[in-house]
Amino acid sequence: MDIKNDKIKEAFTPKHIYVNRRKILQLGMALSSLVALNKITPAQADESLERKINTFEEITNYNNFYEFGIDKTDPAKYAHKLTTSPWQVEIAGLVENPGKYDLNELLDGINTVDRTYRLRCVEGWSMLIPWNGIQLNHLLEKVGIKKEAKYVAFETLLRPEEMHMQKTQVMYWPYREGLRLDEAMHPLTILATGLYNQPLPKQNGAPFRLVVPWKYGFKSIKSIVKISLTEDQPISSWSMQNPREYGFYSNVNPNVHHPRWSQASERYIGGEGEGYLGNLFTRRYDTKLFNGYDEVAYLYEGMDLSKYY
Amino acid sequence: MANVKKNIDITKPINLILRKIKPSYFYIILLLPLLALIIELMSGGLGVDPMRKIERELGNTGLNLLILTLALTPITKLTSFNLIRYKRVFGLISFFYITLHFLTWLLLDMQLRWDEIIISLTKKPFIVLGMVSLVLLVPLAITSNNYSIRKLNNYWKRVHFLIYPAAIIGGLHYMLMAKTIQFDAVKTLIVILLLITLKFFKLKKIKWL
Repeated sequence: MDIKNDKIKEAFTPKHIYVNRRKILQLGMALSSLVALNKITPAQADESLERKINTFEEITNYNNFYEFGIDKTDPAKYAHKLTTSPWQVEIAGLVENPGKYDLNELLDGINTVDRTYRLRCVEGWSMLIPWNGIQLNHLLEKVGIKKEAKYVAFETLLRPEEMHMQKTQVMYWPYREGLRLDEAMHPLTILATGLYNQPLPKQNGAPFRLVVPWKYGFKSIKSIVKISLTEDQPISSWSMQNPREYGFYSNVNPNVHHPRWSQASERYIGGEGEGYLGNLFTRRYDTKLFNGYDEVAYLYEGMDLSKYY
Repeated sequence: MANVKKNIDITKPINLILRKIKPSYFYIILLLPLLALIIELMSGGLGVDPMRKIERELGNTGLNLLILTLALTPITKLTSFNLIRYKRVFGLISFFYITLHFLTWLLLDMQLRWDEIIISLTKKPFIVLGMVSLVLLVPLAITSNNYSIRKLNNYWKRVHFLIYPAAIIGGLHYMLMAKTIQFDAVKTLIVILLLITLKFFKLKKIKWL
């Protein structure tokens, strides 16, 4: 298992980079406050794509988290109201050990992983984000999967007094997402508890969120309070909102056009140049099938991806 | 009419003030939002993705100015304040912002990827609507001068009727852009439809108390 993990790790973040980054960050944390850390811009490039890893500032100030507002700067403004400790997670459905767990208890004993993944939003932009977390399959194995289970359903916290948009009808609350069990069990699928080796900021889905790098960003549900294993395909919030535009699978796919955006390419947030003016000139990259994570292709063999979008 | 004279009529003093405010002043005043946007960009106030902010802001300002242009006629009818002479400058500056909005999309957003631009212009409803609205405004902008008014004579009014479909389509473009129904966009569209409805009523001057 460890060899496999390291292989995966290296496929997405060359070892010298993540080791290096960890060193820099450890030094940074030892020396400085969060503010100072923000200024460390990773100079290392993601060699496979020649993209810079997005800065902490970029990742934490450009979020789609409708519970806190529809503007991408709203989550950074309002997410501080969220209480993330204590945090209970309900494990339900077709599992051996259902129940309500404290998050720490749930994660206890599971190996942590560092993964730098491309994040491709359905709106046509992308980022490169250094997550820390655990593999979802390790957690599911820990709670025990019953044979009949075919899907995994997730739910975000419903707490309108802290998530003010839940008082409006802008979406069906709570936010819901789902994966097929084999997608959930794929070692690339993680539950992130941190980024840049810091606890996950609230606007990014604290205290823990899903990250499925080969699917559009909205599949990676934030601030999870419920995980259930089911026999039937679960409903996802955006499919409820608009089934024609957002399918259950929502794999990154340049050949399936969204009615309102081109999916053929993506604008990489975090500009080419330096400073604020540099951020004005963002570069477009060709979008790749499965966001370039070809190792998941076997999960969809024989499926018509334009039908099951 | 005797009745009107008894009331305090503020029309005259207001029109005296308005006479001093030349339409040409607005060619400067209405460019201030653009200046503010540039200053914000330079100071980092536009955040992580300045391009998108600029694109949105230019579109918003353009549409709002278009709505103001539409509003000037009914306001004039209702108040007798002479605002008609500002219509040209409002319309032209609105067109200027909408053109900049389009150029931002073409150059900074789509980065001249023509194959994707063509797909967008044929298959994405909100982009098609935006483009149609801009195209409808082009003849208006070209003929917004005294020479055209003289030359086109009766046709001029017909050409400038295009502002109504252009505004409605522009409002729809705004509404269909978002992933969810957004209050601002709905509000904008309602205001546009209201202003157009006013065109079909004979508006009388409000009697001031």
